[in-house]
Amino acid sequence: MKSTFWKVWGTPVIIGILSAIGLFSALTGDGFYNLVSWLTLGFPVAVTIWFLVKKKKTQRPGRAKSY
Amino acid sequence: MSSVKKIQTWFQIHKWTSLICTAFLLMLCITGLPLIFHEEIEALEGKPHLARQVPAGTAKATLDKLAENALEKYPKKVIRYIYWDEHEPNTTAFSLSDSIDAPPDNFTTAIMDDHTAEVLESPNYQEGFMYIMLQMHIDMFMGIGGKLFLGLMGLVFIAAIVSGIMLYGPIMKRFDFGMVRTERSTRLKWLDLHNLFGVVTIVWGVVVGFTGVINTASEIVLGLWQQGQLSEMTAPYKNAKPLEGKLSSLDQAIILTKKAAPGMEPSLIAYPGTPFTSKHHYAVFVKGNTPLTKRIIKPALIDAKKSVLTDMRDMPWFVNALFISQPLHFGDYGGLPLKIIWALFDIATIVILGSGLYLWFARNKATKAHINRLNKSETEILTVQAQNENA
Repeated sequence: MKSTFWKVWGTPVIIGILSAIGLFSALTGDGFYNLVSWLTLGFPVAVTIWFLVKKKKTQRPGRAKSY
Repeated sequence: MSSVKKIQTWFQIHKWTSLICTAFLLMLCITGLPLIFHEEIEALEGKPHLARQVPAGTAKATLDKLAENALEKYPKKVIRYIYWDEHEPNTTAFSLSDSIDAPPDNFTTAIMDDHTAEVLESPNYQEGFMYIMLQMHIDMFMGIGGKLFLGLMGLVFIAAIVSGIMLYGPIMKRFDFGMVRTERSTRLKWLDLHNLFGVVTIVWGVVVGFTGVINTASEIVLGLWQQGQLSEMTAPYKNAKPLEGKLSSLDQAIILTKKAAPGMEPSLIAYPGTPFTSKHHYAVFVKGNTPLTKRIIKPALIDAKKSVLTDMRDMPWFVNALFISQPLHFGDYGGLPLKIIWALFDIATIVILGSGLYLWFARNKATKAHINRLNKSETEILTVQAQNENA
């Protein structure tokens, strides 16, 4: 039961924590704090782009699409 | 409740909360997109920094001189507010209106040069593409009613996010994170994209949604502050005679305020009779210097006749909460890279809303097709039965 939960929610929880750090980091300071927010909030963006690109590559040819 | 029943309930909640708010959220996301970059768009429109170049060490004109020149340019108007825009150094903005209690949208802005004391520009903030985007985003041109309505839509949006989270678990139980099935059907592909985009934007969506809701309550926050702290601070002047004649010096008001709040910078002066002060005081609002403390402002009340500081207090928590929530909604607090990230999340939200709408249509169509098939097979069975009976 527990393992299913983390299998589903592991990545989303990491993304959520990083997003929260990023959202508040730039609020508390400039310079380094801004850099932290770019990296932590950039992570979900990068992950999403990675899966979108991966989807294109793994698309198997030769199977009929049904609509 | 069985787990199937539970999922069905969350599905209904997700469907209805989404259907209610989607049209408005789409409008908010689309109008919000250019607003993220309003400074950059204004720079692209070719507006250089306004202030004149002066030799280093040139003395600044007094604030009283600036006010005098602003009124000379607009002799029929009165000054309501003076403020400083940190993006336009060495300038001071004067907001003038036909009368001190004219409606809020009755104003002309005069941007003054701090050194030469001349009026540099009188921009009209109430026209053009960006103004329409901003006003649609704030209240759809429907005043406080429209504003509070959009706040309600924001709350419904948060409910849609929460119910979406409750559905993500059961749907993804047997699948890996980031799965996008492209080869099965268009509906499954968009379902997977809806889930992927939805789950990575949860925290951003809740924070930007909720801070947006807080912003819609700005009039309520202002009202509470007026009824509470401001009326306490101005209580000794409740029965004082109305002000007459020339007001005291603005420069003196700034000096008094700075002395009472060392290390803080003035950001706005409200003239006596405006909603942010009493009928007898200038209110000088000062802010801190760090990224966080510059969001927290503090009013000093200066008797506008005797030129004495009568009271200065920290704002109540709900006012501070409003001001701290604003950058979290605007995304303008971490440079251009943060704005670009904001825009990407905004576009992802548009995709979530659009795909959600598509999934609702597609599901309806699939259900209808299923019912049609059932009807058809039933008709066929009946026909066969009838034929058999007749035979």
